[in-house]
Amino acid sequence: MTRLFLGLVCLLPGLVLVVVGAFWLPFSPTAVVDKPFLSPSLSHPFGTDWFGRDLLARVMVGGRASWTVTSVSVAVAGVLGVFLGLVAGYFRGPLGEVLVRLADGILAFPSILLALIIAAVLGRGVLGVTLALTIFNLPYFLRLAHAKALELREQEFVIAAKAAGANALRVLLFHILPNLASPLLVQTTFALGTSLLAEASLSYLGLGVQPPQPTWGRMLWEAQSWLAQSPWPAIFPGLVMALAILGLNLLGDFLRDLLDPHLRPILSPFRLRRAEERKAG
Amino acid sequence: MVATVLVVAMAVSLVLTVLPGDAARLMVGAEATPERYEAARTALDLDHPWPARFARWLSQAVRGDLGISFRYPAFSVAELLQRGLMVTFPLAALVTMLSFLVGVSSGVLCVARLGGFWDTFLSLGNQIFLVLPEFWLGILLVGLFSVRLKWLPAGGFPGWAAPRAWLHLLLPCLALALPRAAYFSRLTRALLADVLFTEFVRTARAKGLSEARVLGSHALRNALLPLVASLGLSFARLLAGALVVEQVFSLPGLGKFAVEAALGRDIPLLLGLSVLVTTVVVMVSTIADIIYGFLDPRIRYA
Repeated sequence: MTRLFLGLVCLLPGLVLVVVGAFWLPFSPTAVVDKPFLSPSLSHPFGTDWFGRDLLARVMVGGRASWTVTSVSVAVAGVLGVFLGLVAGYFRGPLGEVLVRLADGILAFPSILLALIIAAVLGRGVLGVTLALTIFNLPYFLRLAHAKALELREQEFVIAAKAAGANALRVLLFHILPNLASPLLVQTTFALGTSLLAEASLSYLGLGVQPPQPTWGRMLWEAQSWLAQSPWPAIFPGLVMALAILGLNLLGDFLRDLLDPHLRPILSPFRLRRAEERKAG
Repeated sequence: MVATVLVVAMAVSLVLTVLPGDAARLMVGAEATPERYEAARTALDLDHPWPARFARWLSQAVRGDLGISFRYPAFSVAELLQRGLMVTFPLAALVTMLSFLVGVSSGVLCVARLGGFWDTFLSLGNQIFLVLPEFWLGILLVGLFSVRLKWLPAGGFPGWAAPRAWLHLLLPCLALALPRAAYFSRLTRALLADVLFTEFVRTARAKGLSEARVLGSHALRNALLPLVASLGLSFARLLAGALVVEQVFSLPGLGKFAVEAALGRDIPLLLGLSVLVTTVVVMVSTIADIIYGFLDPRIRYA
């Protein structure tokens, strides 16, 4: 429960700021509103940047691109990966075998290099980063769905459904897919966390959303050259982002422990003692 | 082993070839002179179909010639990679060693005081450092140690001939090592907790061995195998994975060339880099397999 609470607390700032930022902003994110390099104060809770723009407003807008790219790529990767994985696992054809091998290959290849190659092909911008993150996430979902489909296709309830005359689509959608719900939820939470981080890294490198639209990663890149004048522009976007990533990971841990008791690691001394007693017989 | 590298080279080469539009035009940009455009076409060997091109690239590559970089026409790809490795290789080695030592010892400490203060404290720290964005950590370290305290250089690398060149690698090493140490610490803790209640550990305790001996030599030896595997993999992954942090500290490593190659669409350089990184990953996992045999007699005799 601590994890759930901590996870939500960490995730909230990054999420709330961005959602609120879609409807209301304290200042325009691109307008010079005060003196540059102000420290946090009541009128500018995050301070101001090198031009005198309000940092809070920029963080609120900057998260928009990060979250959009992240959630779109995870959603596309999830739907596509689960579909391909289910089909590959259920029918067990040679094509499915090739797909799984391909997924393994992508998993083995350094993800950042993969993103760079995709960026080189598609050019910088939202599309390239979204596609890169989709390809980065796809194998995880594919492997998950493939393994589950392989395991479940021999189970009685699937055979019974088939005997009752259900076609393959029906079996996959209504009998096998519901069994994937909890591992998928866990995987999605973790995928959101890692993708948020990857998106920030890529836009830090200048491959993502292009200026003047701010993103968290790009804001950090810009702030780095002004570190001597003020640390705040480098602290706040990173802090909000790091907390969101941490929150997503804590939530993922919580969900995994909650939904899959088999994977539960030995955590508390209490559980340890129980394990010891069990071993002792 | 060779097959894996070959498949990766083919895949990367294909992906880079299936660029929408004219690869040479994309590489030089729309305003380039006809001569530059022609040079790009020749460099990419675009007048031949892909299989012929790949076959030629391959026959040169096995002789160590990875072609000429397009962004740096004065250098061959092999030379550029060598230059990058001069920085990235020591950095990756340093990071791996540091994070392994710190991580494993903190993991052992956790298990020695399971559920106690150190365990709670270190586990919490691991949880945070594990997901902390490396490049943000790097920027914060620059802000603290270079800008505020002025102890260490903020970035750049003067070359190994310069006095105290290693000081430039210290902060990037720290930024990369902390998350990896957290990973090793977590792994060690989980592995040791697994064997903690096995019979051979109880026997070691019953013999009257000190807790340090029990954990340090008897239990840890059994946890060593997965640890060594991830040690090797961590190092291999760092060659490309250090990329973002290398940019933070503007180090002239492999990462710098990778980013420039991607932004400038330097296809020969990107291809060479992918092949190099894949080769190292494959080599390291083979070496790890061999080391397995030394560490675990069960595998050697099986």
